[in-house]
Amino acid sequence: MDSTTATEKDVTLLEVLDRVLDKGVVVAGDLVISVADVDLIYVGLRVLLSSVETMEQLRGSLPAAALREFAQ
Amino acid sequence: MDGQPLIYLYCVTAQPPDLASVEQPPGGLYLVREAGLCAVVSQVEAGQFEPSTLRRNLENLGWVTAETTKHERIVEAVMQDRGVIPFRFATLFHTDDSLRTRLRTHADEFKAILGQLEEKAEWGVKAYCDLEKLTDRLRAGDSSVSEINETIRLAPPGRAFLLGKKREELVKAALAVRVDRYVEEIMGALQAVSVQMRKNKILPPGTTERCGVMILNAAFLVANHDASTFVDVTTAMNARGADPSILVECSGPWPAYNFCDPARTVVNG
Repeated sequence: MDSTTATEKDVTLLEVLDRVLDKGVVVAGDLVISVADVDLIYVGLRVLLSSVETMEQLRGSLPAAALREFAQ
Repeated sequence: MDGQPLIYLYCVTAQPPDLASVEQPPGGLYLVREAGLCAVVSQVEAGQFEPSTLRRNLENLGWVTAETTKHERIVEAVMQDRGVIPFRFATLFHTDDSLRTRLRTHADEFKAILGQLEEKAEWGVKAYCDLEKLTDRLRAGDSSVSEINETIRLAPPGRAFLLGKKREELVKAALAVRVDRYVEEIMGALQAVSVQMRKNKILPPGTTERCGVMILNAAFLVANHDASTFVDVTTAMNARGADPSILVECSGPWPAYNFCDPARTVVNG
């Protein structure tokens, strides 16, 4: 592993979703989908997001041949 | 037409924040004030946030990215000026009055949270372990396997093979002990420079771009005057001399999303 040091605000979309969709105060508004629904949708999104982020990371750091291998 | 717009609540503050420096969403931000609290809100199209439409929109990564990023930017910008209680995505009201009612009924609770969060911010810490690298190192040099390594060195090939299998069991046990110890050490060092901690679920491999396995996913509430110390402590964990199979990542300062529910946090000290 590389020796990445802490950087302020070097964050991924996942970090934002983890907070905005999954944490924060929940107060019953007049019109909200239930918290349970959000949690379920969030799980699905996270799977989708992880593949997007993984692909982007690979694109930035690996030669095209390795990327093709990954895609298979 | 979609009918009446809805009121979207981003965050609540005690004193009115200066909204001029905050990036404005379409239609602009405004304050709803009630019971000594200020709610930062905007009007949104009912069409996008009706339950059935919202469910569909939440399956669209592009829409979610744009909307959650907007939510986060607004809360962070307000946080530059005032202590905030961040609300969860898509907290919606039909009218300003219905929001006022809610502020009134929760006033004591919100004021108590604002008091606890004063002059503090949330920092996120994720730790990863390169299990393969650590396993190799333990196999070569951990005290629990040094004896069996010596026996294997002197044993005839057949017996060495069997002993090798036994050694792998010892290495596996040593790995679990070592990872637990690292997690305890990291949490201990960071709890010493923070006010509260909340442990979150470990995310499965592939969820982040890091090559190791996540061993810790936690949020810490840190006093602003301790923030640079907190970051220094995490940086030192990756410095020369630290175990190179461990990577500690720190992000922040965040609005205290993880510390608005007292029942789910650990108070340090």
